[in-house]
Amino acid sequence: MSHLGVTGTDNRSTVALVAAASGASVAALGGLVVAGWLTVAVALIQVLPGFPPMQYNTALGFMICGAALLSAALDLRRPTALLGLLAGLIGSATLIQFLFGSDLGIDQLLVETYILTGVSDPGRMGPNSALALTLVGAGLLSLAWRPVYRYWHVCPALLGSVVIALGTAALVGYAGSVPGAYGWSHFNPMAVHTAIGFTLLGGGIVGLAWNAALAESGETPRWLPLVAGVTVATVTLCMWYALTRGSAAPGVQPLLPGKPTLPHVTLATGLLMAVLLGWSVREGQVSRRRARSLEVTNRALQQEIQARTRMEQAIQQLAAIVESSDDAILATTLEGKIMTWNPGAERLYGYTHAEVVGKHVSMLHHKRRDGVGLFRQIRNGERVSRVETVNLTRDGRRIDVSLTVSPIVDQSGCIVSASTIAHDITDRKLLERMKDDFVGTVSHELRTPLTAIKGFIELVADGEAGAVTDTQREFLHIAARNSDKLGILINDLIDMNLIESRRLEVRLKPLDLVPVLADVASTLGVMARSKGLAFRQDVCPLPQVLGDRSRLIQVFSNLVSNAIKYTPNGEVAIHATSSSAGVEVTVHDTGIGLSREEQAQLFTRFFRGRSPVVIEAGGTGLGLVIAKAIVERHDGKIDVESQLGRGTRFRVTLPVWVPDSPQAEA
Amino acid sequence: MATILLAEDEKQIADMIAFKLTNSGHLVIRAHDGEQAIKLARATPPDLIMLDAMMPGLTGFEVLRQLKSDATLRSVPVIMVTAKGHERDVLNGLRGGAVDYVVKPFSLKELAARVELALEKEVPPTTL
Repeated sequence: MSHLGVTGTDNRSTVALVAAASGASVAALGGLVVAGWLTVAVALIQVLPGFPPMQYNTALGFMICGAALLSAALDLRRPTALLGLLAGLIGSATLIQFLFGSDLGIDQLLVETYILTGVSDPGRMGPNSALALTLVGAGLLSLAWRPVYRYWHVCPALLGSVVIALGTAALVGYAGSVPGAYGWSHFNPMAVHTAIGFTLLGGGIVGLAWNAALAESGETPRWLPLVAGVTVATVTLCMWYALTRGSAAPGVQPLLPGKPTLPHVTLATGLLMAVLLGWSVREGQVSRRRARSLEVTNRALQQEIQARTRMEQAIQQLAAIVESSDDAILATTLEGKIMTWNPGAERLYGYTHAEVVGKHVSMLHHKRRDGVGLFRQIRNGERVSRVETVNLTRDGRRIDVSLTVSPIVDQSGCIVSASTIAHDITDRKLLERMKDDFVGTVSHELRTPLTAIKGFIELVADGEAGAVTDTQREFLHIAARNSDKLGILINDLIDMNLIESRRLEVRLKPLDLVPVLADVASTLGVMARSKGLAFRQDVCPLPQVLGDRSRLIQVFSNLVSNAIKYTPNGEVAIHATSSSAGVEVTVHDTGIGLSREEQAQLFTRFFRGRSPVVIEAGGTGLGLVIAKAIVERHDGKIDVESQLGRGTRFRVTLPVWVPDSPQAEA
Repeated sequence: MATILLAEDEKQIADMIAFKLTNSGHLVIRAHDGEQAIKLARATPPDLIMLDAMMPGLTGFEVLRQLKSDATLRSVPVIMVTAKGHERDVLNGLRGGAVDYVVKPFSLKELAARVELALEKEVPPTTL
């Protein structure tokens, strides 16, 4: 801080303002009196007739000090220092004259004094004024040039307080007609406006010292008790001096002739008051400081309590969620020892909290080795989600559960325990098993009559049950074809069911597609030719793919039979090559083709085109959906290109099998 | 002219198969469940056994296992009859020692052909 205390807070700026005002008024006062001396305006010099005058040097000193105080309040250090020094010099020079009885010739240096009130040295200010002026000078100097000391501002404060005391004592003397208070011994007394001026100057200096202390430490100055005590003590001393000595001016009686001890009592009392004042101010400061720090501590504590309460609420909420959950939630150590067990777990497994805590979680497992890999994953920080397994209840029942196990980390990020949520899926599993059974049963129940129908029709049609006419044979063949269609529909429906429950099984093995396609071609080529269509095969040697033979036959048969179905005339062809994308099998026809909208919907369930050829051809609309699902299970792609009226091309792309690559083998 | 043991619980299907095989000149012995099949097979070892995979009580596979672990019956060829959608059963059957399989609904001609094929293979190497 390079300034003399005028920064920031309202308090400080008010004080500074007051100090500035005081300085200005004192300077103005001095100026007025100087003007009075120069223009012989006695009223300015002497306020009231018979009153002591303000000496010229004092007035000059006031101008200097006032200006210095103003500049101090305005943070101007150098002017303050210089002016203060000047004032101090004047004052100390006068003091020296008093002390050594010498005459330095400054008293009437500038103006010849023409007002004499029976004083010893004309033109010279009294010792009290001289002392006050010196102290003001020193105080201003110390405000500007701070001594190198932590509480340096005690210096101007003390000095200022003595000055205040001197001025105040003089004013009390004027008020109470105790001349000794404003006039020491036989010397020139302090004029009343001089007393006022010094009080203001002293106050201003103390105020600025206070500001400096406040700016540096943020609280009231520590020297306040001292200053308060000193002020009161000094005033007391002056009054005591005044009361005891009185004025030794000739002809003036001692003030209290009949009560010699009163002044001493007053002194004692006054000094005691000074001490008490100082002490009580200090106490006030200390308690205020304590209160403030208590407040700070209090606030911090409150925030801490609030934070704790919030945290507790959050914990309680979480605990409530765990307690009320339907699922079993348990926490275990990383070795598998059960630590916590919620009511959901009690309900699911049948064990109470007391029965499981501390025991190993494998007591719940159906198979011995269930937990091993799981805990290893947890230790690595992995979360295991929805693993389906079988657990045992207290009464030995097997239940199907879906487990989610998560690692629990502490604040430093180390994995300290594991939390398991077990969801009872016994019902779902039962349903699945029932569904499987149902599908199996339905499949069986549907196929058995179909087998009978097909078989007996065949027996009759082949003449094994007796001679059969051509018409009879033809009719039987129609019946047989229809029963076959029914069989296909049943197969499709069952496949659809498998696809939708995602249980379509493919057993992938390394496979050469060439014989597979040859198979399809030989079976369906006959059908094509019997319809009058040309049938071509164009199959190059192919690298192996990973595939399920019967499923792939299903796919290609479906594509080729579709091609034949929807081609009134022309040809159906199978191409197979290998490219960078894999093995590509294309089934090409010159049939009725598909519109853009139809192409978009082609692989959706039950989609069948609307053209009369399609309707005539029959079919379930499931074949392509199943084909797509099978191709996708092979990690392959199926797409279509078509032009309405010109033909259609289906392309199946399957990835080439690379030995030792991470491809699925069911 | 072979002796064929047919284990099939559905009467009509059994009638159908028996009719065809008899017309082809074979002798058909019918069992209506797995246990009876084993009993009959032990009593009179047949030239060929046709087993339905899905039967109540002992399933076709269990019967197959028992047949193959019987010294006298081990060499008898077995054809499994299974339903589509149970390909795994097919493979299990083949691994279990069946020589062939037919999938319902099947063509009787196909069944008869497979029967002939299985019987041909059975001819012991000493007789030509």
